[in-house]
Amino acid sequence: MSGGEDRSKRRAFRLPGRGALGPKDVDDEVRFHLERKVERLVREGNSEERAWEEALRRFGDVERVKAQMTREGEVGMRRLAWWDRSRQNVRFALRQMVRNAGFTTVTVLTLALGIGATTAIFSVVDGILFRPLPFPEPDEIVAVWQDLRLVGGPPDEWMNYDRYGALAERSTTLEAVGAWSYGAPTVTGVGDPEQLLAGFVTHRTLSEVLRVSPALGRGFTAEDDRPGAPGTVLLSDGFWKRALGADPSILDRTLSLNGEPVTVIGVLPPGFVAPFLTDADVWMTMREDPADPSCPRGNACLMVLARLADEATLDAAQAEADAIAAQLAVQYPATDADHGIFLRPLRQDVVGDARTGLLVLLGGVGFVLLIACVNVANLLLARATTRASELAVRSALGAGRGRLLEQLLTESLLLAALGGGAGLALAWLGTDLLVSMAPADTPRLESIGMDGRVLAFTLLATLFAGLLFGALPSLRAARGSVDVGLRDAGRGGAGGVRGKRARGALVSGQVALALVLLVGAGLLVRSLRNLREADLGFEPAGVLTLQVGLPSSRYPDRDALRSFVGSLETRLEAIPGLAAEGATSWLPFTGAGTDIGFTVEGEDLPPDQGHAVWIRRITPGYPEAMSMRLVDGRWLTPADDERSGQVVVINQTFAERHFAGESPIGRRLNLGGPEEPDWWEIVGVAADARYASIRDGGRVGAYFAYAQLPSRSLRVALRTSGDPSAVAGDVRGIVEELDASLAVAEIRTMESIVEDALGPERFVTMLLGLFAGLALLLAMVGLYGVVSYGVSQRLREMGVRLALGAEGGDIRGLVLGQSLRMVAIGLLVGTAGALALTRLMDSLLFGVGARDPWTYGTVALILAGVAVVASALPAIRAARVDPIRVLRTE
Amino acid sequence: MGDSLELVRGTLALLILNALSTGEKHGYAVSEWIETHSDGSLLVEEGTLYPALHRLERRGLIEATWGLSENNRRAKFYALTATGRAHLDAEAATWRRYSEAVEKTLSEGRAG
Repeated sequence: MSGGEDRSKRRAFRLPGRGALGPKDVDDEVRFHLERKVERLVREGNSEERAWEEALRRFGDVERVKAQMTREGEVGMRRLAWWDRSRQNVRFALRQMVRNAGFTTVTVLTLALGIGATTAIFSVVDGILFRPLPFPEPDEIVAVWQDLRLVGGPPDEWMNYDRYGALAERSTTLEAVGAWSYGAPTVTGVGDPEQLLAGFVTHRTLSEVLRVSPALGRGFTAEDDRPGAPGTVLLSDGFWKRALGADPSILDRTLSLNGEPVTVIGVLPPGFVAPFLTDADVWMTMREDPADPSCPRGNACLMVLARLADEATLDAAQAEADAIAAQLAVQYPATDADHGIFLRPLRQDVVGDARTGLLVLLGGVGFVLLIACVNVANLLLARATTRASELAVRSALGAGRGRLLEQLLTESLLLAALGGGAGLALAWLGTDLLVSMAPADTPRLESIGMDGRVLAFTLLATLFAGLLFGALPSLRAARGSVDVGLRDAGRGGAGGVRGKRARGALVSGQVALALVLLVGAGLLVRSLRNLREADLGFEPAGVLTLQVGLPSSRYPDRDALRSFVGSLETRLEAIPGLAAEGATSWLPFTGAGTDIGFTVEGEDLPPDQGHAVWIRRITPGYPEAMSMRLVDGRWLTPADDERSGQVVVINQTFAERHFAGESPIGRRLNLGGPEEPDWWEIVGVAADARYASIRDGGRVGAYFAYAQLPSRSLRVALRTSGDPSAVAGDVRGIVEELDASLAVAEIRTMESIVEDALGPERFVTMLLGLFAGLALLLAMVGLYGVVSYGVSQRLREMGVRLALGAEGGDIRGLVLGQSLRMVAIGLLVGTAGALALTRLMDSLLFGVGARDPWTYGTVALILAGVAVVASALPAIRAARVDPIRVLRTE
Repeated sequence: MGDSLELVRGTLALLILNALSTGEKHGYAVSEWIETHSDGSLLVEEGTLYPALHRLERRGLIEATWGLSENNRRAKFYALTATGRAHLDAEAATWRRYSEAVEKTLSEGRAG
């Protein structure tokens, strides 16, 4: 072996690059081996000829081995060369970025903003819209609704027990059908009495339709769901942990729900989030008697979910449901005629109205990313022009076009990667912020989070951004010829007509994108204002509301309910500072309510047929507490009690629909059947009030006296002259004095309930407004950059013009005119784009058309104004050029 | 050498790295070292040795320099890199565990 000296000598002559291997080296190496082998074999006594034979035999196929080494070596070489070059490109790009730290910072921040905002919105949209529901085979689950479109109702009214029963029994395309509803029972026996949210289900709903198995214990069986069966309950993981300290020996324990003893049979898994009823604390079976259901034909009080059978398609199931609905219409013409059954994939149902708003936001934030990319492209274009001399020199020194392109693309991708990394950090914060800001009833908030899908999206957005803003300047630079580059560079030339045109087009594009976003945001802002100013039919300001649950164990009948509500109202009247107070079964914007069937006296209807009306029960003080208006007749009074004649106040839509042109006062409604009529006399007509949502148009509604038609559902409304929340403590004390086992919940001002009802609109409007603001800012920065760059490139020309007698005003006009031309093109293109795109958000608008000229005009004016401001500074600078100095520097 | 053993797949790299752990060698010396230290019972097919050396080199486990051999002829010398040394330690440990495990199971069954 060689010594240290030889070794260092060899190191000095080391071959360039690791593993560099020519065919000659391979030859040499193999020959050396064979010769050594032969020497040894000869030493061992073989003839030279014999030794060669043996050496070759032991080596194997020499040519094949050599070819293999050469081939593998070349592949390795190419790979190495590519790596080497990439490393060089990256190193060079990094040096460039450090040298232009200001440029790098602006670029990376712009990109981070664009990519971060886009990623954050994507993670929200993905969680709500795109990710599958967290149940096994989620696409097989459908929601089943009563389709009331033929009778002027919605396509997705709730079901009743009879229709559910018929569907469950007759359907073959549905493998399992389950019903559910909910209630708010009060639990006693664990800590303070607490009002819970309970889901009531039939026994297949959880186990066979949603296919959720309890983490502890067992699920419901048909036995648990039998009428009269002893009460059993499944706990949600949240309730189990919160109220029961995750007690593992909870099974078979007995809880008291509304006074009924129920046995705990299981605990649902932590990840289980029921559709619609995301916060349910406990689940119980309905135990309905099919012969005497609590929600009979003609009502709407159940939600129904079903799972498609393995071979069945949604279309087949819908066709079968249509057939079943037709059978029912023949069987029960009075209640079921023209009532369809409508199946809709559960995911669509869960997402509901949130869809349009979210897609608008995703589109909007995509525009912001595009504008950010355009800004960066503009910066790069401007820099590519000043770098023309560098590129020309490198090209003259032998760098091929491909090599230059590679270099420029590496720089763009590196910038994009830095922007993407910073954007990811922004998105991380932004997503949490969005989730915390989202309206409380946003579906599927729990499934939003950063994960592989979101990371993949960020990566794609980053790559897209890098290629988008990098490609144009790179292509232009690589196309430019050497001598032009050198000449231009020497003269500080104008960067070429093509460059100017490209930059102008980019600015126009930015203005167009910003206009679309601003118009969208403007339309939403106007809609939100219209919604806020809409006539609700009541006055929310100054009203405090709260909710009291009246369990059937303590308030078993109408008398008990009536006497509690009566004494509550008397006690409330005594609170000082209250202007008015009353109670109702449902407050506006807090949930469903009840529909009942009726006929009008003297109406010529086929036997058993009727109409539906949406009812509220109110105490006499409620209309005053809510400042509701009466149109005709009188309100309900304390005299309208169980001993006096049954009376009702209808709303204006009711009056117009059923008593067109005549006074309804004194007419009677029949809430019973033709055989056993149940008559109610109309004593007043109230102005329409919005109940389900502010967008709600007229809906046939009626008010009944609590005393005549008591309800277990009780919401109290208090109008105070001072601060509404000050009386909350008084009310709590009064309820506690009346019955210490009652839970008071949902103490809120009516104003906050109305605000919450606007939550989704506010969320979308605020975010789109934010994006529009960002777009405006970015477009302004982009325009300023391009104009001032253009001026700096044309200083000499300006100098000449001034020297030849042009006034400062002429120069300013010249610069402003050019910039406004770019903006005008952008405004035109943007208006066309906005006209096409805002149609998609029609369902979000209220009281304003998607083509509202006022909005378009204002936005165009704002953009033009901003453009003037952004170009003014460079224009003024251009006019102040000192001709002598500029011309001398040449 | 009629009773020489064919190499189990994947062990050639281990043998080469081990041979180089005692100092840098050219390919011929590597083949001799393995032959000598296995008392001639491991047969390294010489034709497979060189492609294997080159692959190890490209993986950065060994590095090569051209130099003069002990009888002053041009030869390519291979030496372990730091990565190669770490790789050898890891591979040797795995191999020992593997062969012990095989041995242990053999001693339990009919083979034992």
